[in-house]
Order: sequence, then C-alpha cells, then structure tokens
Amino acid sequence: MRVAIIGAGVIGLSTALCIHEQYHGLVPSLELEVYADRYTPHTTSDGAAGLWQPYLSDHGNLQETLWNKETFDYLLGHLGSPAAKEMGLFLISGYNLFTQPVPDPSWKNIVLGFRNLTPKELELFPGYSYGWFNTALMLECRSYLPWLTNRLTQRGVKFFHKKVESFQEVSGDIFAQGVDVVINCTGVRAGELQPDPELQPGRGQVIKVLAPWVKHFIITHDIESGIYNSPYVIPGSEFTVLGGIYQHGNWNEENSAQDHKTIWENCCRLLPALQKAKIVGEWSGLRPARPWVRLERETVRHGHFQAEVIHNYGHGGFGITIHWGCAMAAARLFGSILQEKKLASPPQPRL
Amino acid sequence: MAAPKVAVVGAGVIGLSTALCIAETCPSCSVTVLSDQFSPNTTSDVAAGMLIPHTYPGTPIHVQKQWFTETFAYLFAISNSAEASEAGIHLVSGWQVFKTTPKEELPFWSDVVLGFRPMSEAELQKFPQHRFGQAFTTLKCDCPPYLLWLEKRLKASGVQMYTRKVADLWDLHSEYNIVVNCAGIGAHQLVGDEKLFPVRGQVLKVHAPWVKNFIRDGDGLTYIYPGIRRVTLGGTREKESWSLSPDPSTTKDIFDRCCSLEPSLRGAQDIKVKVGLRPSRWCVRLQREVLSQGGVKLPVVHNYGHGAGGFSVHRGTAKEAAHLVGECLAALQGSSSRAKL
Repeated sequence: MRVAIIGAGVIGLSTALCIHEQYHGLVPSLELEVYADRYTPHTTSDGAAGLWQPYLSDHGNLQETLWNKETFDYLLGHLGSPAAKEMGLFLISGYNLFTQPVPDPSWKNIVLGFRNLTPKELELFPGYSYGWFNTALMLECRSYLPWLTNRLTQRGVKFFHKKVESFQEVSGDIFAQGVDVVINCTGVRAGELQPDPELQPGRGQVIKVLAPWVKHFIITHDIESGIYNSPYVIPGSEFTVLGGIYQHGNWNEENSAQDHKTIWENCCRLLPALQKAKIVGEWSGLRPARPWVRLERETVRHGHFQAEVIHNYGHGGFGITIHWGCAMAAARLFGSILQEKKLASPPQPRL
Repeated sequence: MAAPKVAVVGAGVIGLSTALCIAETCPSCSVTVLSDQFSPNTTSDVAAGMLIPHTYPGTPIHVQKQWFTETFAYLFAISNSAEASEAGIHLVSGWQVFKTTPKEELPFWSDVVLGFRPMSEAELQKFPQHRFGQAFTTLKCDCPPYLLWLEKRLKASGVQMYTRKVADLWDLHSEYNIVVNCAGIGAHQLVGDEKLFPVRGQVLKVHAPWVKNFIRDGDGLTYIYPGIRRVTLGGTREKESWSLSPDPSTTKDIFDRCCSLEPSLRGAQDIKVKVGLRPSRWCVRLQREVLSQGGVKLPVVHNYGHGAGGFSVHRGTAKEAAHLVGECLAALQGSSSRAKL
C-alpha cells in the first residue's frame, strides 16, 4: 500500500510519522512517500517562533481545543527525554497582555500554572491593564522538522523534492502504479490542488534579534486589530523573535519595510531594552488561515483511477500548537480507510 | 571640611554599590574605591546574582525585608529600562521545590517577588522526587555586566578606582577622612573578624540557552539559574573551607544533581567551573566604628558579612552604609567646628 504525503512542514512530517508509527506493523506493505517543493528550513513552519499557544477563543470549536491539548500533553511527555534538545523542545513562561479584562481562554487548564497578572507585574507593561501568566512549551521547527525527518528516514520513508500539481498526478494518471492514499498537508497553497475559498493567507513578518536577557514570551493583544496584529516577543534558544503582523489575504512573501518599522517600534516600546538588541534576520510567511482546520476524508475520482485523500490543512497561526492532535486524527482516518480496504482490522479486545 | 575623602575598600557588589550610594547622597564627597580584585575576579562574579534572600539569624526580619524590598525595587526599575541589557538585569521565572514540605510555607519575601504562589499538581509532576513547591518571578544580576555597569556609573560620578591591597584600615588614615569596609571575606584578615567565616561554593557555568526558567531545591544546595549567556548550576555550601580550587568530583556531583532536576542539561556545552567563598556571618556587620591611635581618629563604616544573600540585599545595605557615612561626616564636621572655638 503506497501512501503519499504532500507537504513537508510540521503538519506533513508529523502526520507521516504518526501514520507510520501506528500502522507499519499492521500493514507490512505500507510505503510512505513525502512530496514537497519546500523542505526545512524553507517551510512556513520554520519561520514560526515555535510557541505553543492557541488563539484566544476557540469559537466553540471543541475539537480543535482537544487537538491542542493532545499536542501539549504529548510534547510535555517528551520534555524529560534525551530527545528534547534535538527536537527543539523546552519549557517557557510568559505574559499575555490586554488593555481590558477578557474571559479566560479555552487552554487555561492545558498550560501550566495559568493565573492572572498582579498589579505589580502590570507595572512592567504600561498601557496594559490586564493579563495572564503561564508556563507553556516552545517547539522550534528548525530543530523539530529535521528531527522528524530523521525519524522518518530511519523508518524507510522516502522523500521527493517535487511540486505536486494535482491529486491525479500522484494517484495514477502519470505514475505507472499510483498511490492508494494521499495525505494533503499543503498548507497555504492547498487551493492549488483543490479550490478552497475558505483558505486565505494570513501574512506575517518577524524580525530575529539577539536579546538573550529576555527569558519570557510577551504577547500583547489588541481586540480591535485582531490576533497577531499587536506586538509580541518570543525568546528562542538562539535568537528572539519580534512580531505582530497579520495581514489577511496578502500573498506577498517579501519583507516589507513598513512592517519592519511597525514591529521594531512597537516591540521596543513594549521592552525598552530591545533597542540595544542586534538584528540578525527578517522573515515573512503565510499562515494558512481558515475558519476551522480542514481535517477530513474525500474520495477523489478521475477516469479509471480513484484515490482516498485525507485533508489536513488550514492551521493558521497555531499549526505547531495543534499538530500532533491533528496527526492522530488523520491517522484515525487512515485506519478507517485500511478497514474499508480490509487491510487491517481494529485492535481486538483481549479475552 | 573641604571635599571629605571617603575610601571604600572592596569592589564586589557591596563595595561598588556602597560607593555609588555614597556618591549619590554626598555629592561633595570625594569617593575612591580600593580593592585588590575587580570584576571578573571578585566573589560576586562567581555568584548567579539571583534575588532570593538568605535569612540572617542575627538580623531582625523586618530589616532584612526592608533591604530586600529596596534592592528589588531598584533593580526592577533598571530591568524595565533601556539599560537593562547593559546592566545585566533581567526577570526570570521558575520554581523552588521541596522534597519535604517546609516549616515556613510563606517566606518573608513572598510578597516582594512577583506572582508568588504554590505550584500546581501539574507543575509538580515535572519533579517526581519533590512534594511541594513555589512558583514566582524574580530578578537576576548577571556578573560581570552588573559590576561593570556599576563601575561605569561610578566613573561618571567622578569616583576613582585603584587596584591596591589594603592590609590594615589604619594605613588609610592619612589619605582619607572616612573608610568604608566592604571587603567581604577579606574582612576576616583585614579587621580580624573571627565571627566571619567562608562558606565555599562551587558552581558550573554552562551553555544551555534553551533553559529559560530557574529551578531551585529548597535545601539551597541544588539550583539552576539561567543568565544572559550562561546557566549557573550549583552548588555546595562548605563551611570553613577556604579552598578556591575547583574540585572535579564536586563538579560531577553538581552536574548530576542538576540533571536530575532538569534532564535536558545533559546536552549542556562548554562547562566552566568556578569557586567563591561566601562571606558568612550570623548577621551582616553594618555599623560605625572609630579607630584611634595616638589621638588620631579614623571613622569606619563596616558593610560586610552578607554570606549567601549579597545580591538580594545589596542596595538596601549600601543605602544604610551611605547613611552611616553621613553620620560620620556630621560628627567630623561637628568636631571640626568645635575645634574652631
């Protein structure tokens, strides 16, 4: 059974690993192949700071909150393992700041030590009158994606540097023997494989600086301007990320001087000591924004061929945050495909 | 008295901050710092510089709390300013964990640090050998940056600094009107204080930039303090040991203890070992004394014996020492005007 995963960002690679871990023992003929035109360090995931934090509100989307929790718990479990450093995984504490009181987020009991800020803490952040403190996780993709790639390579998964133009292409029109299942993890460019008006780019830009005295993440929120359009500072293991840009519908992947100015001025106002920080890089990327994540099966037919497609895209600015829960859900969908093809039965209860 | 001359002996955190306070409160004074060691070779340079107080058995708690509160407020303002990175002052959050629940669940400083609260069950799961813990946010003074920043402020205030080993405070009586003794562990020999004793501390300074939170065992022996460039791993508390040589088996022991609190430290790089002698005393000696020989008097202000808590109270004790210098000055000016009658 051949399975093609299209996309090699955090979603594609983790979904591939999850499927292989769960099913290679059950399906001896299982062959996984990853197809992507961009690999680490050139994926959208690589540009993200890597902070685990969902949006402020899940808009009633309990499913996504559960996937976020699954991801957090999975990563937390790996913290003490020798792999943590190689994965780019570590604990980090920090602040979310608001100009007015807000309801507690859906993730308050997922993270560690969630509490409101005290008046003295708020003195650190003039202009903000309310906030949260909690301990969360960082998962730096420039380490995590190579780690996933190594695990996959050890398992015999093959990688192809290729832009897939259509589902048909992989599922049999061109190949002598097509794949049986396609996992669509194409992120912001999923619309090129199948039109999806719900999917829009949420353009972001970040400045990378050296500011090793910053030990906390600081995320400000401006309810009016929307998520990520207010300054944030996220310290990583090698550099600190300054951001605060979210432009819906903007496909431009070039850095903008205006956005640089916005980020720099706003972050320096937030943390005056940043004025002395050395700038070491700048990056723009397109968050694959969607009202909710598209995680579902579809049977794609054309001519004599048909293929089962599992869509797993549209994770906006919370891909790292939700990735493992989605990978597990995609693996469950894969399991149902196997059942239908009678290639594997569900685990039998022990008598 | 024209431009009273004040000598401050010692250039660790106590000496430099005391000299700065004197320069601030007595602009007419000419202040000079004399020390055989300057940063990076002082005891202060070995310390992590965490603002977590050490309790002195012989000093009233309300006084210690006043010192800590003043020091915390002073550094808090710097950490919030554009000078923070140069001064080496930054906020750090973390956990103090206990294997057995402490007698005192609320230390005297719990309302001075930020966000102090007991750890949740979920947080404690990260520390399977510990049953109780406290989470809070405090400040860290990285050295050498903080000491170098103090030296810069001193120079800007016109304070001179000289490398000089002072063997006897009396040696300074002809050049200075007042002497301030911030010699730390050096006071044992300098003024023959038998109540002052070293508590030897060995630490490792390692490269582990993914460690963003501090972890401290409530027994004070094992701690992980992330600084700007290095993480300080500790430590030891060896009373009456005067050895400044790193001990290799101690290094391994410290490393193992810290790795059991934070397993990812196994990947730490570039391990540097340092030793410092905490200038320990039942209480901080913060008092005036008048030395006299053959009718000549030399007012002295002592400010030493801060043990494991120097950084935590440095600004508070420096201000009190500066106040005592003011009293010495008033006494000198009083007696000189009496002499004119």
